[in-house]
Amino acid sequence: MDAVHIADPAWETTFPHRVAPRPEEWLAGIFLRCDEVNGWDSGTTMKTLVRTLHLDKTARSMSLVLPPASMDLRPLAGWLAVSEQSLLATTYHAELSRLYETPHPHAQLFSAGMGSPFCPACVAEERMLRRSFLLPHVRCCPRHHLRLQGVCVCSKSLSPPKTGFSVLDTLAKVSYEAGVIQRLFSPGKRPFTCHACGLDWARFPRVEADPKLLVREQAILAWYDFFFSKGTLHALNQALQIVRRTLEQRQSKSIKLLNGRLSRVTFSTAEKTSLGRLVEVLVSLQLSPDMIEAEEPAVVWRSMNRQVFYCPMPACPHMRPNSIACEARRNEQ
Amino acid sequence: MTNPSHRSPFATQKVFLETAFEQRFQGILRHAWHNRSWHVIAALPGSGKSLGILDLVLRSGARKEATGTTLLPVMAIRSPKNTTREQALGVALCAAFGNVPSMDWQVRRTWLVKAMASAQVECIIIDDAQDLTLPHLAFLKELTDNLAALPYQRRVSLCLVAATIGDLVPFKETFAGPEMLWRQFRRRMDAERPYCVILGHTEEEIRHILTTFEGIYRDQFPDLRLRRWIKPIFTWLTHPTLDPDATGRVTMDALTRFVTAALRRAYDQEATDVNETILEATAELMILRRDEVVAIDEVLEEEPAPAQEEE
Repeated sequence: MDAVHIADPAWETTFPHRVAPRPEEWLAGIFLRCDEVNGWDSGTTMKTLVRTLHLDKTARSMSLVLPPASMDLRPLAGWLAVSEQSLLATTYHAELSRLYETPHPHAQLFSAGMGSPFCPACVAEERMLRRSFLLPHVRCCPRHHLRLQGVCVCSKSLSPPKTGFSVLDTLAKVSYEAGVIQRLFSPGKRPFTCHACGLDWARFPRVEADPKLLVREQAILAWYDFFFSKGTLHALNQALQIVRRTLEQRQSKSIKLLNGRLSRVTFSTAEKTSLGRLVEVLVSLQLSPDMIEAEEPAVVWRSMNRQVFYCPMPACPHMRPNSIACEARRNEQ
Repeated sequence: MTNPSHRSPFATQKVFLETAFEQRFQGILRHAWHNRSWHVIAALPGSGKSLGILDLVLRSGARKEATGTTLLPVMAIRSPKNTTREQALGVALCAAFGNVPSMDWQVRRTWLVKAMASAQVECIIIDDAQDLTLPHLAFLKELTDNLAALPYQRRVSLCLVAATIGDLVPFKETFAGPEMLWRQFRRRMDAERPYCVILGHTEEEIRHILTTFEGIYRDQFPDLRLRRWIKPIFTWLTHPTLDPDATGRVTMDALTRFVTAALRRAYDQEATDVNETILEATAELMILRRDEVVAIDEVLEEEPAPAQEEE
């Protein structure tokens, strides 16, 4: 990435200190690194962007994993003198757009977890928030083999306020012991710190991940990697077919999910299937991406007399009720 | 002679010339930068102070790396106008870093110290310093004191570059005042050259500049020989109208405007060099008819954009 020299007109439009996105970095990490390197409070860069774009509060609270269409990253690209593409690459926008074949994939398709999980070692080494930590069911850092953190235990040392009502006191005690859920942006606080006690995220406990958990997460990340690198709606459909076929073979409608709970598996169309949910089911069924890659895409055929064709998809969205034929709408689209 | 129908309009060449004045001016700025010393530097209006500062800043190595490292060794701003508030100076200093989000003044003044330290500012130059007010100067002292204190421990030089009239140097009398602030200011000033007046060009120095102009305008005037006219040019440009303080020196602004006007006139006459008539007419316009009111009753032709010379 080239330096901005003072003779360049961009000197006046760029922030005093610039940061450039790193491979696999999450957009929120860019905001926080920009705040830190410029000596600003946590959230200053984000607030500046929100103010520039005149975003409303709803958009402000939207996930930075999949920014809403209203969040134009061009101003930020200008302030940092980096390409807009490099900033978009810190989200999963491009990957999910291709996967769901829509320019503006809905955040619910991703079903990212709440909070802002981070690896204390990644933060300590290079102030890095990885976007993969936002993927549903990812709990460990594959690089440092540590459990991701997102809660500060600072409140445990404090005494919860006494209300005199036992139920409320019990709830307060539980809440205090649960710890302080970390916020990404805390006005008036330093970036990458607990907003309650100021502890740097780099100094959060480093808890070794269970080896079994690491193995399982490798499988999870393999599926995400497959969908993000090669995924299309067709691949999603194939994955759904494999799930259905596997359940039929096992003569079961329920499976034991990653959290250990038994759950009945139902999916609607591929377009409406949450990627996080699908990956959870695929890993729970111990299926691997090779099974999809090995399959040839089904060939569509049509009758000579009627403008219908027989769709190989068991749950084709264009299929007529109680019919094995569906209109050739898919080809018309 | 060339065919006027095929001749493009006269193009003024806007380039920075490292004249004798600029060497003297930048010399004292560099001295201040390297020795972290404080100076009041004065020169006549139109000497080329602002261009000299710009040139120094452009060559100072200031850059913003994508890794978060920013270097701004020489921080130059123009004094805020029409305001006595310290905030105005603070905002101007912040703007030297580029785009800074809006923030509360108390936050900004703390941030500015940190930002200057992290960008390794070594020299602060304030152009048009004659417009600075007491709150501005007090803020400058506070800012430099904070940089010199822990945790930064950075000594920075300060150059207050001001326009002057005659031998008068701005701030000299102010800093001689008995108030504590001025005593502190005086103590920080350079021991050897606290107040400097940079003189304009001598006749010999003008000769070098005219030689340079001949080269710059060679494309448009193949036979240009300005040096032949050094004596009359110097005499005209030191006329009391253009040199009211009788310094006997020539400012770059006066020389550039004289040469450009003469060349434009010559170009309009399809000449390839200037002659005595053209120079005299130009001198008369600049000296005798300087304040003459001109009635405009026609649409003036637009001049092409000045050619930028790559260094």
